[in-house]
Amino acid sequence: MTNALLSLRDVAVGYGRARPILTGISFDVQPGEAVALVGRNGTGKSTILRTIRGFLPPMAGEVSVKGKSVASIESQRLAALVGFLSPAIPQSHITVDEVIELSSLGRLRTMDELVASDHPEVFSEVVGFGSRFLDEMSSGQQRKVMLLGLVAQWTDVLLMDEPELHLDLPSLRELHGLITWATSRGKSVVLSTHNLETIRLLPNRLYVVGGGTVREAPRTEATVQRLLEGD
Amino acid sequence: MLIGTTVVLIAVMCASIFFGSSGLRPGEVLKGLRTLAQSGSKSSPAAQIVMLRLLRIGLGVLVGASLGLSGFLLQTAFRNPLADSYLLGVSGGAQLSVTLVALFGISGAVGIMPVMVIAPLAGALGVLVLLLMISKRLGHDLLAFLLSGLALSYMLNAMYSILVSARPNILSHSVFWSWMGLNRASGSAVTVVAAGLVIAVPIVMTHMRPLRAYLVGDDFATNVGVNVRRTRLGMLFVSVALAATDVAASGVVGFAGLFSPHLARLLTRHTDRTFVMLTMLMGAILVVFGDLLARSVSLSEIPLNTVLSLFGAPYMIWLATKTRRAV
Repeated sequence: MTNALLSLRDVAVGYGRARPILTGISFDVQPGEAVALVGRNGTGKSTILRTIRGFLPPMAGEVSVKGKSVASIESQRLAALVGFLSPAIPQSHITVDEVIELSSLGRLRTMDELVASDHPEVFSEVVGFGSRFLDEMSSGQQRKVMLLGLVAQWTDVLLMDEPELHLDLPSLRELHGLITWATSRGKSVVLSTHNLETIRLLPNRLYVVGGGTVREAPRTEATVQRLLEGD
Repeated sequence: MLIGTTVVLIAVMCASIFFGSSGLRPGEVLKGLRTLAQSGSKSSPAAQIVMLRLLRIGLGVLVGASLGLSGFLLQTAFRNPLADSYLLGVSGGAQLSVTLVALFGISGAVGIMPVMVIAPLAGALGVLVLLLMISKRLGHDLLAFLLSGLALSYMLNAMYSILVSARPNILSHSVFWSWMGLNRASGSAVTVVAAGLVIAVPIVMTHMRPLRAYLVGDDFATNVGVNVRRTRLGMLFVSVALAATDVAASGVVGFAGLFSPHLARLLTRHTDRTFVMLTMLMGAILVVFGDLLARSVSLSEIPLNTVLSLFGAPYMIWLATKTRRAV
C-alpha cells in the first residue's frame, strides 16, 4: 500500500453502455506532485479527469483518494477533496464574489477573504473584481476567476482540464506559479494540456493518452518531439 | 427596493378596488368596504361587488406571484431567459388535460378540488417530459428550443380547440378557464394557488445555493457538491406544479412568468432571495394591473391573457433579439 493521495487501478473510462474509450489506466499521484496528461484531441484526456472527479463512474477498476474509493465518498465530502476546473466557460450572470463563495463550500464569502487567506499571489488583475459579473468579462478573465475558485475550494487534489485556455502569456506564467504553489502545499495536481511550456517546465511525470490506453513517457525533449509529430 | 415594489403593488391593488365594469362610484366602493369590515355581511349590492373585487385582487396577487416564481424556476432550469410555461406549452398541456377531464369524466368532476389540481398537473407534467426530450436533442440552442416549445404549444391549443368545437356544450365550464382569467375567482381557487406557494416558496428560499451553482453550469455545480440532476428536476417539477395550480385557478395566463424575472432583474443584479421576492412581486403587479385593464378598458371584459399578450409580445421580440446577440 502506498501513501498516494490519488490512485488509479486498472481503470477503464467511457460513456454509457458503449465500449470503453481507454482501458488499463493505472497510476499514483503523491502529495506535492503534478502530473500531466498529454495526447491528441479526442483521445480521452477529459474523460479521465471527469472519471477521477466522479462525474462519470469508472467502467472498470477503481479510482481512490486517500485510500478511499471515489464512488463510495459522499458528494459534499468529495467536493472538499477533489476540485475540477472545467474547460467550459460559464456564461452566467453571477459575481466573482459568488463564484468564490460557492467554490469555497462556505469557507469564504468574497474574493477579499480569499486574498486575506493563504493563496498564490497570481492574477492580481481579477483580484479586485469581487463585485463584477462573470458574463461581463473576457474569456481569459473568467478563466482566472475560475482558477482562483479552484484555489478557494482548497481540495487535496486539483484537476485541471486544459487550464491554459484563453490565458495570455504572462498569465500562463502565473498559472504555473499557482500550480507550484499548490504542490508546495502538499496538494496533488493532474492536468491535461497541449501547452509546450507547461509540458517542459511543470509536471513531475507525463502520461501519454492514446491507442486505447495511457502510458508513462519520460519527461525528455525526445518525448516532446514525438508529441509534436503526433506519434 | 422590496418596499418600493410592495408600495407599487399596493397602489395597483387599491386602484383595482375602485375600477371595474360595474360602474360603481368611489364613494359606493368605500361604503361597501365599510359594510364588509364592520359586519362582514354582504347585504348591500355594493358590498357584494367589493367582496368579489377583493377576492379577485387577492387571487391576482397569488397567481401573479406564483407565475413569477414558476417563470424564474423554468428560466433557471433551462438556463434560458425566454422560457415560460405559456410559450412552451406547459399551460396549454394543463388546459388540454382539464378539458379532457371535463369531456370524458363525470360532468361535475372539474369542480372538485383534487381533480382541479391533479388534472392540470398531469397535463403540465406530460408536456414537461416532452420538453426535456426535445431539449436533450437540441443541446444548447436556446432559440431552437423555444421554437419547438412554441410549436408544441400551438399543437396543444389546436387540440383544445378541436375538442371545444366538437363538443360545444363543454364550453359551459371549460372555456372560462382559458378566457376569463381572474373572473373565476373563488375561495377554492385562492386556496389552490396559495397552497402551491406555501409549499414552493420555502423550498426555493432554502435552496438558493444549489440553484446559483446550477446557474454557473453543470460542471461547476457538480464540482461544488451539488446534485445537478436532482436540482434541475426539482426546479422543473416545482415550476410546472405552480403553473398547473395557476391554470386550475385562472386559466392560461401568458407572459407574466416570462416578464417577472426580467423586471426584477432591472432592480437587482444578484440572483438571491431578494431577487426571488422581487420576481414574485413583479408577477403580482403584472397580473393585478393586467386584470384592471382587462375589466376597465371596455364595457365587456377582455381576457387577461389577451391584455398581457398585447404588451408581452413586443417585449418578447426585443428580448429575443437581445438574447440572439448574447448567444
